Amino acid sequence: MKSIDRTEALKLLNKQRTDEVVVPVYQAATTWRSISTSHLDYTFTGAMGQGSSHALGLALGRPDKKIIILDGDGSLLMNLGSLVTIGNINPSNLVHCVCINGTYETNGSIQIPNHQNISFSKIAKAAGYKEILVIDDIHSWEKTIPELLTTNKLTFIELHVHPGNNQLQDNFKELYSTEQRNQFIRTLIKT
Amino acid sequence: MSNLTGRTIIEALEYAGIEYVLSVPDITTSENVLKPLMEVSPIKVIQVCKEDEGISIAAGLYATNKKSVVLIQHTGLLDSINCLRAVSMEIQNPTVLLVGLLRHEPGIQPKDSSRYGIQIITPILDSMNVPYSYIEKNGDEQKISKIIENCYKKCKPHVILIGGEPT
Repeated sequence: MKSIDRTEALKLLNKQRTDEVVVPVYQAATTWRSISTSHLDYTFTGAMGQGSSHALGLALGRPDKKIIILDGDGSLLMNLGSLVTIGNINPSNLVHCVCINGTYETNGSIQIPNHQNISFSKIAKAAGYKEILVIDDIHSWEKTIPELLTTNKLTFIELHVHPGNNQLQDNFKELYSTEQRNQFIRTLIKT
Repeated sequence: MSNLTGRTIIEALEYAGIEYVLSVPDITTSENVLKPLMEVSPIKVIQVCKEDEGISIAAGLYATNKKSVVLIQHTGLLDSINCLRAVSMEIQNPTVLLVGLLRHEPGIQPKDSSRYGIQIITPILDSMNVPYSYIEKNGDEQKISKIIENCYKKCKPHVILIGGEPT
């Protein structure tokens, strides 16, 4: 399968994003932080795999806001049951984008188990997500972004990205900062 | 000693402004807390597949100014220690956990239980500096709304250990 550069993909998303809440995890969070200057970025997920659950809480609490999670395949494997929880609730304002690179990139780029065969999109469909997309080229991604920002369906995207292209140092102290979380809350209240 | 009642636990949650209960079924509280919550209470129940999901959903809800509690069994608390460490303690989220002690002997403090899984609960919470309370008998429910209020005021977790099956 083809794949795209994650940084390029996230830059395109940032270009079109307005006041949506974005919940990036791990490497996507580090990259996203280098691109976005918004105070509506929620990076305070703490433990691996928990991003999708934080995003569900945000989606439930603010049904008027679009919530976009930039998950990872290694992360989602740690909290695979959250797909069933989310599918059961069916929040129409949640877009679940999983950056698939077949590795635990933060932990030394070791491959995830059974990475050649696993289909997250099929699992998400079975779990109850309403719209499923598989994207592996940058032009399709660019064309899809406006749809993601406006859809009223619980959406799952398998976004295939190059493995091991991380050039940035993780800064978990900043990503999980309580002070910045409080800033996020103050910003969210105003929007 | 008369038992806790599910009705007064639910009333305490409603009084404290709880809008969501995030739960994996717990045998101690299923019949008289979780089922009435799902059937008659205005509080919304979100069934999660694993207990740590509840802690994280609660954090997301808190960021939107919504109050919730996590209703689980002590086995699920043990499974969620890393999430409690990171999401509740390090990032400082007001996580309120109602934790049923599976097959706990009445009148015995958890640390004195003959069951290993229950004995270790409060030492683990002590080592993590996570505050906890123990409720077992009728009237103890009155502590719940104050605990929730303090939790949200201080942005800290609190574990409420439920030692007996509410009637």
